[in-house]
Amino acid sequence: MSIFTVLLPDIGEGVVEGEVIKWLKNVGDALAQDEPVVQIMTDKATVELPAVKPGKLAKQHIAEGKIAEKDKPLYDIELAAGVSAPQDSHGHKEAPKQEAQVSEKPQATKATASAPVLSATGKALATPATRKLARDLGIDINQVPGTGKGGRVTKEDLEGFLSGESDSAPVSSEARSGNLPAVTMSKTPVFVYEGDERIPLRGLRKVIAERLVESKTIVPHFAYFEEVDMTELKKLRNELKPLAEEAGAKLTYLPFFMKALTLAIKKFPIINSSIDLGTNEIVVHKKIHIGMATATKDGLIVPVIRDADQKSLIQLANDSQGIAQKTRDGKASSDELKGSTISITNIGSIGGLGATPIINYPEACILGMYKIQDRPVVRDGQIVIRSMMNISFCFDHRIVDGANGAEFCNYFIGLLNNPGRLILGS
Amino acid sequence: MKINTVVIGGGPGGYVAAIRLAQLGIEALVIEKENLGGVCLNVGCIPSKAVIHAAKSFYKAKNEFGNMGIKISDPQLDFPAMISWKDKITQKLSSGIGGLLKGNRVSVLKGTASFVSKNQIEVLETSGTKTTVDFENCIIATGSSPIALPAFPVDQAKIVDSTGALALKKLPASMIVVGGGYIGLELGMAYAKLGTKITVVEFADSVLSAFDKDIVQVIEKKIKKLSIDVLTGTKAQSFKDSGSQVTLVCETPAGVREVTADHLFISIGRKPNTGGMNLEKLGVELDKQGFIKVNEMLQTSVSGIFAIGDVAGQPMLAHKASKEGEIAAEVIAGHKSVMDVRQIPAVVFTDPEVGQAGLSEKEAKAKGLNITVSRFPYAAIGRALTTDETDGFVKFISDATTREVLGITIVGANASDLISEACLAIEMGAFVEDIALTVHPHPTFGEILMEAAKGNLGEAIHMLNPKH
Repeated sequence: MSIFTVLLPDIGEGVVEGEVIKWLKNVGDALAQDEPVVQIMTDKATVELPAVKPGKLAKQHIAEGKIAEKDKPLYDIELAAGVSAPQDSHGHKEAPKQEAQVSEKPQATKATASAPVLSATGKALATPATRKLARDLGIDINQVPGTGKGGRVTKEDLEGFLSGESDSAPVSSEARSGNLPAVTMSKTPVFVYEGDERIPLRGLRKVIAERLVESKTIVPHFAYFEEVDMTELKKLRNELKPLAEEAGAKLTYLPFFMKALTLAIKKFPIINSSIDLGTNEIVVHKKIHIGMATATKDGLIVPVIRDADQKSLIQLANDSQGIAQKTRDGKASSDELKGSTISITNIGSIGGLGATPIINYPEACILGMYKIQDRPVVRDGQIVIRSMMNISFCFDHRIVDGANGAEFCNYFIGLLNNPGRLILGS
Repeated sequence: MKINTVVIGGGPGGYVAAIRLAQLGIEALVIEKENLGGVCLNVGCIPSKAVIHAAKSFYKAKNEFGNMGIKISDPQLDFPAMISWKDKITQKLSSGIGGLLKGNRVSVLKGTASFVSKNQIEVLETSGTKTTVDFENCIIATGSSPIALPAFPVDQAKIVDSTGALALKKLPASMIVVGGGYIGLELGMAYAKLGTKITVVEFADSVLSAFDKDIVQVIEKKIKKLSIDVLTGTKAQSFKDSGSQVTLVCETPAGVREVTADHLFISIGRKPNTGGMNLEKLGVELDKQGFIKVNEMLQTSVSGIFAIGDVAGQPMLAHKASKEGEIAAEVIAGHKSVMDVRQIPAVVFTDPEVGQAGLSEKEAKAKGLNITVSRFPYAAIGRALTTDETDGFVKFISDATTREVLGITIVGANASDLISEACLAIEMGAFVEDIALTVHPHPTFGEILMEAAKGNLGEAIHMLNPKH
């Protein structure tokens, strides 16, 4: 009976790892060809991976809640009699041997450090406390070159390993964040009271937590508030609504705001950018892909409207509703959930007069839309009632200064106050 | 009742897991059908050590004090008093665990548990009431029981297991021990010291066959001194009632033989307690030996269900159960804990004692490792002479190339305490020099490990080092 090791396949462009959310089959269960074996969550999409060959699930290499890496063993199939191992990149006939792994290890940068030294028992030389630290940091200690006596791995070696060469190192996602400071959750102890409920921080919730900590840790946010006079836009929308309906679209205010955002970006391109810390450059994006914060039953997900500047109001209306529904249904693909260059969060339908949203890192700007209210305002020395909406922008202050942000915002609300300009395109 | 984590079994695995859970802020309930502390505390480690210590003291007073010039005329044994002294110890410890659990706000339910689903358990309480408990996680820590031989039904009167052997009403004149493993030998030697005529029947060709031969030889010498008969390569076949006694029929290499004694003590090993919990219904998988299959996080094949200790595999030792209990609790609390220990020590309270950490010589050789083996005798240590405990030696095994400490076995007085230094060394990934270069206090038994480490480097002071 031969054992076939299935590696985590390519499940989306640029996807290098995913969290094992749930094993749908237990060890020993029979697997039919193409029967779902495991749920993997990558970025923000969850996919079910089918069995590549029939047989029996012999081993789960990654526990639920742990990170599976692309091209690394995910599970073993004990192949059914007469079934041969596939010869593609989705699996190895045999699990890689220890030597093979060692030979692939990254070359250490420190002169004193060399190949990891393993004990005769096949494990790294390290004290129990160091081994625990490695687990907490998500490091496979057997891959760490030790600088201590006889190749012993020290706590300092672990820290060096994390900060030095995390690109090629076998570090789990918690520890991996390029050359950025490692993202860690607060270490302040939690107060525990009788009756407290404990919910494991995993899956989408964990991703949200990590992403937002990353953004808030790295990006110096500044928030900027304005109000939009919606009166004219309301009229325009009411006029266009039946026409849009004839064309099969439900026209909300969101497409107008998207349109305005794309036009404002054309005028102020720097708003649609990111900082590449690897090269120390500001990357100004020519593509305008708008992320749209969407509430789902599991938590916040941000699907993407691609090339928003190339789309008509009707297209934007259709696309945003379509992708939002798909996201809420858990059917959006991993590719549909990433790659945005700027984001919008619209909680106006629920309520609220203002908020300071967190930037969808590594973007440089997020727009917050709030509730529309009839409010007394002064126009030509008279108090009149107008439909007003507060908006806020949060910018990455490393890229956008206060004055740039204000000018961008002025232009943006100008377009919405006089929505005819949206049609004019300037 | 609704609780985060249910722990089935209040032994050294279960109660430790519950306390660790409580420390981590997780509400836990322990279900125990007998006494807190499990086999270890009530009918295993603790009571047997009390009897062994008492027997050793009695034997020394009677046979060895004279060596030091102390003359006691005919010391007497009050066997029932000895047993009740032992019982007081276990009661004290058991109520101590009750206090610890209470202090940590862990609830305890007395009764037997049976799974209804992977999130619900039914407890038939000792009082007769049935209680249903809903839970998110469960730790199975039900331990193990002595293996029964169908031909020798245990009645705890004439035919006893380890539980019965520790609760005899009067000192037996004679006893046959079936099984020459550590449990049989520990108690067999203790009873021999108290004056019982012991016969050991062992199927393998040596007692304590798991240990290296040179280690076992030291104990065999003492077995002989205690006039214990050991029948190796012998199979216990049947028994006959001989009035107030019992006669064992066994097949020795020299033919069938009959041995008569007051008691037959069956100690052929232990088996995991997996029955009666409705585990089949949950689909919890067992391995070929009947242990619950667990991964390094002590998770079973059913999510949310953990297993620790004897029920989750070898070695069936209390300290392994406790460690696993802590890890299971930490995994439940979301910590990145795994069972990654480098050694689980084994100690045997024979005379002399045995302590082993890491690899034995035969295990290291079976792995094909290139090792340096050295021995250092107790007789070369001052403290051993001053306590009249000169039998035994330390065997030191290191990696011949790197000098990493791979295994240490001690046979000799206080081996059970001395082995802890070896445990720390192996867990820390120590080299032989780390022990050899550490100043050990004189005059103590502890020096023997330092000397043995030096000997492993060919630099022992109080021994002539073999020429290479």
